[in-house]
Amino acid sequence: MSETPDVVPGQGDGLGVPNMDQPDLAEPAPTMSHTMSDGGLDAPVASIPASKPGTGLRMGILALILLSVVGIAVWGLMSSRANAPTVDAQAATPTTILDGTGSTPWGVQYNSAPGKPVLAIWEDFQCPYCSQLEQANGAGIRALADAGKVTLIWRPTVFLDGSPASQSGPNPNSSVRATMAWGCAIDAGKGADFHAYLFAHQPAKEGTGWTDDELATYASDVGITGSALDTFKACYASHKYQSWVKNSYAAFESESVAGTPAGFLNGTELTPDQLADPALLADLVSKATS
Amino acid sequence: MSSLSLGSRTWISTVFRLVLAAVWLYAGGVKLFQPGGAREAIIAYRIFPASWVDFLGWALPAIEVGLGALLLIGLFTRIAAIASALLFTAFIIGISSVWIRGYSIDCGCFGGGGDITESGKTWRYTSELLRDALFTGMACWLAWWPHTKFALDRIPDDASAATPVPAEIA
Repeated sequence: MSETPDVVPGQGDGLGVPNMDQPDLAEPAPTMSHTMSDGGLDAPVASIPASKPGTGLRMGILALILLSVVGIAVWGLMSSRANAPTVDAQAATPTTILDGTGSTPWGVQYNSAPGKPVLAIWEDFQCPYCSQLEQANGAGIRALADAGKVTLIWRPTVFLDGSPASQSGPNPNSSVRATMAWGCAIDAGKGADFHAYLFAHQPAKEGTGWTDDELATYASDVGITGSALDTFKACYASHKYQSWVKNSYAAFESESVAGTPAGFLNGTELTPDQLADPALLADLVSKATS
Repeated sequence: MSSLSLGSRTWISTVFRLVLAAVWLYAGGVKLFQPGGAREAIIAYRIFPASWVDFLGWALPAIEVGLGALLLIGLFTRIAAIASALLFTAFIIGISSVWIRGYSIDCGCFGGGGDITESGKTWRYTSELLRDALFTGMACWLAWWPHTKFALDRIPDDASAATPVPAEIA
């Protein structure tokens, strides 16, 4: 193999595509082995000049492409750092909603069960699988909390507003608007009902979202009426909880949560099956308690 | 493959090269126009630590576009084909891994990404794996026979190199 440099000087450019004008010779076909061993290739390939203008052109274009690749990656990273969601510590938060401290900042605390495991669930109201989870085990999860076996904390995120389906859909920013409306419904004491109702009325086609009027109708559907409904509408129209929603989304991003729904029992992520199966989840909760 | 003439092999390689170029340019291009690049999709695989995903979210689509550009103009075809085969293989491993671990995610291959619905999971993963296996096969073919039409690789280095001399080969 000491001959190698002589055998394939075409590879001196390090690019492994020698003999481009004689492709058969470039094939690493099995039958080539004895051809190689009797040195038949030495003469023709070695005859290619060492210094080639075409090589300079190729290396130049390669350098341009490599620089572009690095440039695009760096530019993207810088721009997303610049646009990263930031936390507004002064954000108004609905009643029963946690502040920016603690292990589940900006979450919605459904109940308090001191000394029991904490079940935190990340959801996006536009996420189809979150709606399926609500159907499969929403009642079971609330029952665990109602029985005082677990502290349930819902953690809203709105990442699906950025999905192509949602951005090109009829109601952009539906996740943010639905979550803001949820905050107003929590103030009215109908947080759990509104949460379940939104998932039950999730449009079949992902990204369709809801209109402002639909969200107001849902509020009255779950029993927010009279002056409470006026308060809800004023709360929603003033975007009172927009900063809270953004804060929770910033937490979702900074914790690098892998999509939704994502359930964490005492900080350990559950599998989708564990979260959606009532018996499995109840079993895990009791194990985490003892 | 020995039954195929050199000319038809060259044409098959050319088609594969251009198909792979289109795949990379589209897959990478779509991701570059998303907030965070491929970040959401990469997080959904639950493979890389959190400190990597911001960087990978932009590095992956940039590399895809770079490979697509090389294949499009036919520059360093063999290297680009080998890199393509390796990257497709990595995707196959990644998709298999999330499937085995029981998560429902959109592969994020062509933008999008994140969790998907449980229904149709098997069909979705199967079709994604078959598609990536097909692309891997095309990339391997191209790595084996990188000689193609309309390629910058073929620009003659000078007039004498442009003219094959059969007598010297013999």
